[in-house]
Amino acid sequence: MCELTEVNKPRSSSELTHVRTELTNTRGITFTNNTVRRRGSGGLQLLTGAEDVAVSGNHFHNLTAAGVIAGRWMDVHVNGAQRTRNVTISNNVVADTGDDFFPATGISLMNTYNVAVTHNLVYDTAFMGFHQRKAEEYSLLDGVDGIGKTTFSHNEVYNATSNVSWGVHDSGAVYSFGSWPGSVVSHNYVHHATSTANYYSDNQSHQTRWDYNVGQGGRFDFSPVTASPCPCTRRTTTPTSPTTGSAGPSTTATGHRTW
Amino acid sequence: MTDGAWPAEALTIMNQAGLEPAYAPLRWKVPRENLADHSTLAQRSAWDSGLGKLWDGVTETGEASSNTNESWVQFDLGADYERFAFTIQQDNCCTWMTTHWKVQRWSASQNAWIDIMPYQAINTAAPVVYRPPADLATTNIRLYVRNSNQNGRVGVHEFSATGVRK
Repeated sequence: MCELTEVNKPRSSSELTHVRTELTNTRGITFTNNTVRRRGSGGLQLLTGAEDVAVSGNHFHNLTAAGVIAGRWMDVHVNGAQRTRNVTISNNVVADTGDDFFPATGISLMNTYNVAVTHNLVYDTAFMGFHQRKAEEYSLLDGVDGIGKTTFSHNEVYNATSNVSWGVHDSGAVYSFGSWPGSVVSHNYVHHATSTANYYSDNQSHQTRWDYNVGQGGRFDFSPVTASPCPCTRRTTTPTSPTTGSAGPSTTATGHRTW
Repeated sequence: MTDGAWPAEALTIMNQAGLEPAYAPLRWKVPRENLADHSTLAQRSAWDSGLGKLWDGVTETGEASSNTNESWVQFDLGADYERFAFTIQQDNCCTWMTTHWKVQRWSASQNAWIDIMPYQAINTAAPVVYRPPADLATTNIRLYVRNSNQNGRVGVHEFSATGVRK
């Protein structure tokens, strides 16, 4: 079944329209060469059951929420058929998100499986530029109906987390939370991030490799927190940041829990 | 880094990140509201660490400041723009403020910075706009701000430059 939803509502102002584009229970959709702008929502939402989707060559800008949102927060326990999976998000521009919604990111993944985010340009986001999050911090659902296998590589991110000056903290230009087994974050370039963290591997972010990422003028934050008991061995690779990035723990600086 | 040079491996990663060549023109399709921001910042005089407040679009975050009575910041727009409008805003108060401002353009033919406008006085906390002749075009601009008060130091809340790509 394929469902492409455009919901039109009256304009709330002359600036933004309340329109959203959602894919649910969908297979084989290509979303390409579109301009999605000035919406009081996200740009494109790949929700429950969106599978085999390609998102490429689009502009997403001046949005209340993220440019591309894949997966749903409440879908952490869905079965494989309902999992948002097998998605490619490549060669898109995502810019100017969250002027009116501070938690707005650039590209967000929630409980997804096998999503490749490559060669995108993301800038001027209120919160993270790239954000992946598993809904349950303490449930290590590795391998349960598939959550993980994210590839985030060859992306350029700048001026992410731009609302730090408004007190919006605990973030990074490229940010991961929860265990995403089989994931790789590599060969990205982050510059002019306004947060202190260009790359942030936050709680439970084990089983993700962070290799060959370049950061200019910021840190690599690494929160060494794992749930107990942890059935797995931490395999997070020490990030390679051949320039200014540092790989050391920064739990004190970022105020994260350690135990 | 050594002497400001990036390692070759890092440069390769930087150059290969972002849009692939076939999609490179997409980079310029998103309209830019302020041409003078972090992405076009080229050179600067001494400012404090909050220079980003100059282009964050809101006054509530405070002012970019320096401990001198004159400072400048230079932007490389990447291409020729025209139909400029320059807007500055300061708090008109206290030690850190702005009493005068001007904008320059780079003239390749003259190999020199040329005043788009000579120093203009400011005595208001409201935004002040200056529009040069519409056909004035340039790729590089430089904002100068000055505090002529005794022992005055430079403080500016916002600066923006809008224009149309030529």
